[in-house]
Amino acid sequence: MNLENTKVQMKKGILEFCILTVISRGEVYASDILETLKDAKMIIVEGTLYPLLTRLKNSGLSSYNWVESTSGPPRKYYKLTPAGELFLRELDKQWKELLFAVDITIKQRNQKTKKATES
Amino acid sequence: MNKTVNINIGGVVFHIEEDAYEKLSRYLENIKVHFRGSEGFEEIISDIEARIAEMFQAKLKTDKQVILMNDVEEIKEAMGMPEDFGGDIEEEQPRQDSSQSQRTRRKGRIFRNADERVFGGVCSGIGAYLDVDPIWIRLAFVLGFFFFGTGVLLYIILWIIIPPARSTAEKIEMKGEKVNVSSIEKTLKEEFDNLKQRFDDFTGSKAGTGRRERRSAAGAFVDRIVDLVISLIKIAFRVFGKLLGVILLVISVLGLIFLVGGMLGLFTADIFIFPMAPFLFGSSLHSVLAFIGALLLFGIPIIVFMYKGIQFLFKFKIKTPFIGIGALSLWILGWVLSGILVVHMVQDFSHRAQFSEHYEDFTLDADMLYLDILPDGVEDAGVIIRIENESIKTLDDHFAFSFVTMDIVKTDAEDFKLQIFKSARGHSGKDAYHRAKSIQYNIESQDSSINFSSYYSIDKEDLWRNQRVKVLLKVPVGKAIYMSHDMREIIYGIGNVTNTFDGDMVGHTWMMKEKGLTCLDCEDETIEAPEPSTEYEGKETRLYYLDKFISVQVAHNLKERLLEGEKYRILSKGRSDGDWESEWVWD
Repeated sequence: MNLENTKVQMKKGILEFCILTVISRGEVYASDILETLKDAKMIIVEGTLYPLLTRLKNSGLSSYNWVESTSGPPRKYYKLTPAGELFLRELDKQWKELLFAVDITIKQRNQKTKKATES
Repeated sequence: MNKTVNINIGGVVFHIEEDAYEKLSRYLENIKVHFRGSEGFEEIISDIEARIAEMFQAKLKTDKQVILMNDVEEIKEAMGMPEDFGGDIEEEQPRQDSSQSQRTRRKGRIFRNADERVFGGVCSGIGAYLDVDPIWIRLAFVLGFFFFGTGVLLYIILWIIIPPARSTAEKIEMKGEKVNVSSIEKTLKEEFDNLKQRFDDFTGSKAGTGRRERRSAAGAFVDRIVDLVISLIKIAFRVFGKLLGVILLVISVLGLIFLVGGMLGLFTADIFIFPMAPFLFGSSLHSVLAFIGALLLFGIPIIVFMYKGIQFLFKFKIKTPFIGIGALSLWILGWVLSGILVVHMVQDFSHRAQFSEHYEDFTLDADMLYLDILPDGVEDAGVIIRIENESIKTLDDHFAFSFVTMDIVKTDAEDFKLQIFKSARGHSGKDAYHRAKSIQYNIESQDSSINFSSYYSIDKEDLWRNQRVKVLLKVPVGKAIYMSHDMREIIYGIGNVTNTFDGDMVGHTWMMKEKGLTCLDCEDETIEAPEPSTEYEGKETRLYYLDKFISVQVAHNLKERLLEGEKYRILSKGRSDGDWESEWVWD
């Protein structure tokens, strides 16, 4: 087992989940997504985002509109497709289950160590 | 003051300093290389470019209108290096594809490194490819130069066939992926591990599931065997390909050394073993034809071998389709040129002419002539080429040939007669005749002795066209000749009564009789005349019956014994240990 590998695996699905969640806010463009993700410390370098956005769009989960910008190149404003909404809902459910699973396992461990220290 | 350039990125125009521009374009190339082949490549790139444009715009204010180096640095930092954002994203979908593309990329391609070049960047390209300091490659080529300039030729060939690294992507490919002995080893090891894995799977399945599901296990068994065989064959081909590459390269390099060495030897004359060329190929046209013809005829296959060898070894391909056709047509041209040369040469040998001289001003009315060889001045001069017993000596302005042949025949005239026949070939009778006439051959005479030269010489300008000299001495009946031992060099098949070989005729006096030449002082003649009677009884005894003799000479390891007898008998006894004993019986 490789620690880095495991970390990357864990992060990967969650990153997609996060991006979909940000897009579900409504019309957002890359810089908005970046801002949120950077605040959340989900990504370190911006380059990570673009291949993911392209893939989400190509798999029909999201779509975008071109919007002219006053201060630069036209921007792509992303939003979720109905399929994307469904996808996100499933992920949301899955996430809660995961949270529960992790919560339970950690709680039980803590109880055991508590007992051990008591006795 | 710094120079700026204008760029259009994401549809927006920016002024950017030149060095910053260099950096930015390298960075973008890196990103492109990274995403090449992945889904939505163009879109990803344009998204990134748009983002960069946006970030640039954020950096520009009214008092700052130019993108500087540190702006690019900051963008690079924010965007991250391609290694940081690519690999893990693609892994999920086409896992096999990505691992395959990684594998093929690791092997890399060979390029010429024009950035660090001395001439064509061949050495630094190879150095980058093999991960070796180019200085060693350069040193090898310089050393190669001393093998008749092979290094130079090889360099030029490589220069032609290896493409230069033009785009940054190619430059990265050139440098990034190392292929050296250990990496080849690694690839092979991976291959074998893979194979071993399959083999283990195969044996494991046999032990584990074999009993339970015999039928499907049997099917899997066959599948695995087929799998195993296929991967074995694949490995064999890969190893064989590399081996073939090495063999082809070695052959081509050796061939190149021989070719260049041969060419130098053939056409600069005097340095190497074969200075005949300028005599064979008279006109400069012939020389040029021979040179180019031979170069193409042998050089093209060598180059093709080398090319194929490199291709097998390094697996790079050139996109120029006409290289094969070009090589083939050049090779055919080589054949054509050589063909023209051969036709020309054959023409040059097509006509034969003979020119004869009669020597009658000698004192040939003597009763006996003493024949000897002239001491010649060419003995230790020039380069000597030996062909069997004959030799050719090359001198500054002429050739000396030892192909003189002499015959002695009977004549009905009263005096000796000496004739010299000179012959040669040429493209016409006239040409051949002139050539024959200009052969120089010396004979000197004093009193009753005649000295022959053992060589005749040809002027360099006359070329070698099978010039020959024949000496014919006609001896009248009743007159005699004596041949010195040196005459052996020129006499050839002289008929005589006793069928004595040329080599045994010298050193003796021969009288011309009606039947032919007869030896006057050959002791061994009488020994050869009667057949000895031999007995074999562990010992060998040979008995010669002789009528007349003046003296007896015993050669080799025979012992002499004189005994009394009724007749003259010579008995030679041989023992198994090789000793011979001869008894001389005086009967």
